[in-house]
Amino acid sequence: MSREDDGMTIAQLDTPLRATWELHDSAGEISLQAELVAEKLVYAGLFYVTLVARPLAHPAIAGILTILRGGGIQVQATFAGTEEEWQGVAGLKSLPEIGLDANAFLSCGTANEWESLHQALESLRQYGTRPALWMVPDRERLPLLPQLCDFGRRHGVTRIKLPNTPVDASFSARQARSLPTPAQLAALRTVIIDPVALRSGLTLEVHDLFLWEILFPGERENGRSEYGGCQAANSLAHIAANGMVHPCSSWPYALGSLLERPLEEIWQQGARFVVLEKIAALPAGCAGCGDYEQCFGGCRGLVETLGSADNGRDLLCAGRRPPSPKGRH
Amino acid sequence: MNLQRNPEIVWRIEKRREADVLAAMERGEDVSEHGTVILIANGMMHQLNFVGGRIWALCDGSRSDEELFALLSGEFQVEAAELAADLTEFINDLTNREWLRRG
Ligand code: SF4
Repeated sequence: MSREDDGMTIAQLDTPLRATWELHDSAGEISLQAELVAEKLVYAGLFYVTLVARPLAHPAIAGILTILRGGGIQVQATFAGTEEEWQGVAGLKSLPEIGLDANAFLSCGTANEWESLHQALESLRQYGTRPALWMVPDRERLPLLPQLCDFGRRHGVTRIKLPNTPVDASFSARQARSLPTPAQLAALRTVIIDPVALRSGLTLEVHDLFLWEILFPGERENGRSEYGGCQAANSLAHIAANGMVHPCSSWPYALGSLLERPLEEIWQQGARFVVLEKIAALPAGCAGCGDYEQCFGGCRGLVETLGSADNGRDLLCAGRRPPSPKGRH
Repeated sequence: MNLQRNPEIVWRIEKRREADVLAAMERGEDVSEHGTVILIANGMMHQLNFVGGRIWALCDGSRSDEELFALLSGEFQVEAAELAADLTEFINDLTNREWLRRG
C-alpha cells in the first residue's frame, strides 16, 4: 500500500477535478439548462467549481448552488457589482465564497474607482461574506497590482487571486492586445522593490509563472512545486454558457457539449486527447530553455488561441533561459 | 478510537484507473505504483494506490483497527504479519499528515 509523492505518475483522470463555469455569455445571455449542467458536474465528481460571468445574476443561481453544494462541490463565484448581481445576493440564503472582480471596478486606478471597489467590498461583508479580490492582470490593470495589494491589506482582505486571462469563443485581436507584454512585466519588476512586504498579510494566488516569479523571487523550489505544467483538459475544464466544455477558460476549443453528453464521456474522447498532445509537445520556441522543466512552455491555451510570434513560447515570456538548476533567482 | 478521514480533504476513486488496476492484479502484475484514488490536501493533489485507497475508503469512523485489519485480510492475500506491519505504517504516515484522525 502506498501514498504517492513522486513514485507514482499522475493517472489519466476520469474527469476534471475543477472547472470554471460561465453563467452568462459575452452577449449577456444566460447559461441555458444550468441546473442540468450543475447535475452533470456533480455526477462527474468535480471537487471545485468557480462560477464566473455575473453568476449571482443568473435567475437559477439558488438552485445551481443547492445542486453543486449538495453534491459536495466547493463553489466560488466572481462578483462584478452589477445591479442584477446585488439583487441575486439579496435573494440568497447563503452566499458561496466570493471573488470580488476588481477588473469591473478599476481601469486607470482613479480615487473614485478605488472607492467604488471599497464600497462593494463593505456591502458584500454585510451579507456575512469575506470576499477575496480577483484581478485578471491585463495590460491596463497590471500596473495597479502594488496598489491592489495595499488596498487589500488596508481593508482586511486576506486573499488576492490573479487568474489566467479568459478568452471566449468570439476572441479577437483586441483580446491579444489586452495581454501584458514581457516589457511591461520587466517594468513591474523594477517597481516592486520589496515583494515580501508587498505580499505581507496576503495570500496571493498567481496563475502566470512570469508574474509569479516577480512576486515570489527565489521561491520556485518551495512555492510552486505543485505546478506540473498546464492543467487544461487534464485536471481543469471550462464550461461555456452554452454548455460547451473547453480545456480551460483561456482555450475556447470545443471538446463536447454537456447539454448532449455526460462529462465522463466528453473526457474520454478524441478532442481532449488532441489538446493533451499539444500540451505535451515541446514548443519549438522553448527548445533548449533551461527552465522548461518548471515552465513547460507556460500558458498553452493563449498561445494556441491567439498565436505566438515566438514559435509557441508563452506570450509573456521574454526569451529562452540558460540552464539553471535552481531556477532564475 | 476509530480512524476517520479529515473532512477537509476532498477525494474520489478514479473508476477507469481502478478497473485497469483490478485487471492487472488478475494477471498477477505489480500495481503498487498505480494510483486509483485522487485526493487534495492543503491544495496539493496526491494519489493512493489500490490498497492504500481501499484503506482510505474504509476509514469512515465506523471501524476499529482490528475490524479494518480483518476486512483487508479477507480482501488481499498477504501474510498476516506483513499486512499488519504495512497497515500500521500506512496509518501512521497518514495520521502524521493529519489526513486521518482518531475520533
Ligand atoms: S522559453 Fe519561456 S515559455 Fe518556453 S519554457 Fe522557457 S521560460 Fe517557459
